[in-house]
Amino acid sequence: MSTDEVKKHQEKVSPMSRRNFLKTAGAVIGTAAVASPLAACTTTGQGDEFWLPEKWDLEADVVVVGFGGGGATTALAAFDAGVEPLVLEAAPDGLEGGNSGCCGGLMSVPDSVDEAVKHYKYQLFGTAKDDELLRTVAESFQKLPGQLEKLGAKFTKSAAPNPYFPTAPGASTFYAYRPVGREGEPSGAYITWRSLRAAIDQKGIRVMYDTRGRELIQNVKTKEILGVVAEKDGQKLYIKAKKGVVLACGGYELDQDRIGWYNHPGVKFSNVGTPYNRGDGVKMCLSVNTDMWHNVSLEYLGYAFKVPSDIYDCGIGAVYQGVLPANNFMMVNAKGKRFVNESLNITHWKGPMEVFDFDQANADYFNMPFWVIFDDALYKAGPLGSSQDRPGPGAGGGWGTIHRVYDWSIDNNKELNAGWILKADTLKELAGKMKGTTPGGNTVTADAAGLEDAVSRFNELVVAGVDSDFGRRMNGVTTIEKPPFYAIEVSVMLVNTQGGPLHNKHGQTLDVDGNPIPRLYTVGELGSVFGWLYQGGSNFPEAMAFGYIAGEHASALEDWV
Amino acid sequence: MVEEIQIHHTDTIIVNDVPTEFYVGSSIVLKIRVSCSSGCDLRSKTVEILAQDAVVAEVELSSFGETGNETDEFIVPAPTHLGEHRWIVVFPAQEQEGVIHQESSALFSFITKPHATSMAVWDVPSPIALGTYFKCKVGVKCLSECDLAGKTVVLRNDKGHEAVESLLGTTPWTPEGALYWTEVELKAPDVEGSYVWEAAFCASDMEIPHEDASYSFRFRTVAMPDHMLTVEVVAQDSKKPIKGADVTLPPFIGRTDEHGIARFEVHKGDYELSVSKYEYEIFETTLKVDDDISFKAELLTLYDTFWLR
Repeated sequence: MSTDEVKKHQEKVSPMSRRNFLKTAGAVIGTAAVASPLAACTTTGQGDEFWLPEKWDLEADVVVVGFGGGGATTALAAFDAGVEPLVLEAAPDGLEGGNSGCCGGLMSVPDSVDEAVKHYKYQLFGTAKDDELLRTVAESFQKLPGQLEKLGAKFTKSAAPNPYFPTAPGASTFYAYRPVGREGEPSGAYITWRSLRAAIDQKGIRVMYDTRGRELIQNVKTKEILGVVAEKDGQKLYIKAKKGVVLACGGYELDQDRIGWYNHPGVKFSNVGTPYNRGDGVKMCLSVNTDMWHNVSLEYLGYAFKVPSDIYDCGIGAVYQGVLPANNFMMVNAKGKRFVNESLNITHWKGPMEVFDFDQANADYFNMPFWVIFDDALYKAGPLGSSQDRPGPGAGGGWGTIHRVYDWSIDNNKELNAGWILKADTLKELAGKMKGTTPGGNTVTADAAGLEDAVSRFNELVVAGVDSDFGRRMNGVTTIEKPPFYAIEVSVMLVNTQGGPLHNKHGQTLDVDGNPIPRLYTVGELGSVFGWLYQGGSNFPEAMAFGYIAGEHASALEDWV
Repeated sequence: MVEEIQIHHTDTIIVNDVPTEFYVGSSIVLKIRVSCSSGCDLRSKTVEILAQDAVVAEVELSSFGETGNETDEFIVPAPTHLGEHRWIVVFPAQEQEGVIHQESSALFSFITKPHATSMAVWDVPSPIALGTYFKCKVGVKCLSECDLAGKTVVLRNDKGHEAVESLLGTTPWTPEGALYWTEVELKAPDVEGSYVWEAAFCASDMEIPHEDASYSFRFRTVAMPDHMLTVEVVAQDSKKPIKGADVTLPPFIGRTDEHGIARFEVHKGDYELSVSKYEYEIFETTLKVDDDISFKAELLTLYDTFWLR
């Protein structure tokens, strides 16, 4: 869009133009006066409309909470509809993008809507009964590559179908669309994000960084959502949304309470996506009586190194057969015992996961803490985590890689010296160093005899070529035998949560009776449609597709004031 | 005129947490505080550590503050014999310029235990041809990092019979470690199967008490191989040899050398060959061996990130 076009657009939109906004925002944010309380405050409020703040600090036609794929396309749709969006983003400038800025970037796009709906029904196992919604998902996915290509993004379509569940109805209709970047760039959503961010910047759409959406302002009589209470620099901002509010602020990956309440009590995951998904959207929606779905569904991605992941609040490293520099490794619990098939790809896995087995008698998890064990051959085979020069295979992917959160040393020695990697001449000595804490808070040390026995048994299985204990794929797996020996405590990597409020085909958020809450929309992983079996490459297009849908729908509403 | 003598009570405590178990001869870390009821500065006075009336250490009080007088942290060696020990920290009574500081003491008890040892056995070929001689390495580590050079290790077969005895070498396996090791030669059983043998370290002749240690290791025996299989591993794009690739064709496992070569003595038959190497896609094929053969595996470079969403 040319400068003139941007200017024309700004003239069309609300009286509070971009220029006025900047003046206002500058004045307001710079003073303590923004901490004005909601007129709950009934004595000083505006008559019967006690839900309104004493004054609005900012306003826009469509207020978008979250600047990831869903937030970006919502804002673009609103802008293109001739109304004025305002985007609030919890992350600082440069770290925005949410999970859409750092995921794999694949889009599973169906050739046939009818076939896709059949497949979605299979995947969702009865957890999404709205056929119109599923049709909209498929149709919007078909439109999406074209919409993004208008922004300068490029994709390649796979030559053959790319189904995760090949025997499921409709599976063969899904093709993989991968972003095409600059020469030599590894594939990833950051390439698509670059186009989205450029479009937002080019159109001059307002984005407020370091700003979290915290509360919704609702007319308690009509149930309309009138605005958002945001938090910036520790102060509240009351932001009027004349047409609607679109929540595109992701799931609750970093909300340890909700992980415990909805999923796995006490378990601390290593989060592979953005660390800014703190459950703000879920909390806001709960406060206005939305119904919730798909909280049961978490998406995993292998295992990460626990200590650095905890330090940096994002998944560092990746323990996965084919990703570590060699395959002579195994995972053990504090009894020193293997408990899992290390070659099982738990990416988007919904099958049994031994790591979550719970010991009812002792009220704790059987297999946490747990470690990856290996010998000198693997230690010397290559870096165990990603480095500046090597963001590709084995990098762990995700937010930590894209944003260069940590540079793993090429020879692993930096991490050894930091104590993240434990080293010993014998397995018995190694076990003595493997100390950890269970989710129940008990401090444990690995059992030496158990570890020696487990390694010996593992080596026997390697030679046999068949893992009759856990079914690991033994191709290319060699023995763990040559000292020194090593251990790293690991944790499950969490890609994203799917739970959140229900929405309809327009992206309108639904209350517990199934009715849209006026002027409220939710898109993306905040109440994703994909709440059970998961076809890779679905959340990413879902966020962007429903951003376009919700942005258009909200923009067409009459102003509430 | 009678000179007035003042008597000050003192109190002696051990400031740091002291474990109740120590390896013989290991370091006991102590920090002592002596406080005077009148708050006197007792710097330059000493405390004694007594073990059965013998003074094992004498340490000066080096700092004075609100909580009293303290030594720096200091180290006393634990006894080199096994047993239960009761040591006393004593601040002896002393008189100076008409002030008598009374004696005070603190008791602590601990036991000494033998140094922990552990073992490893590695480079065990597998499988091993029936009745042939094979070599492997055996190592012993004292967790207190004692020099174990020249100490004896014994290897026993699955029936408990001694197969070989050897002395540990003088150089640890890694320069920074204390794993003393030796290479031994053993004769494989004449019957095909899986075996569990044991390596053992007996510490009874050591001056400083050490635990005995043992380690079980497993291997498999097979009939004498018929053929030589040579696997050459190269990168598909550059055709350059790949060193350090893991090559498996169960029960045979190996790793390529600097020329990208791994050699196996195998039996006639069909094998599931897998080759894996960091940053390459795993290579898999079925190989039919009915003669001495060479096979070239070309590995594809991996480029993709692996997180999909």
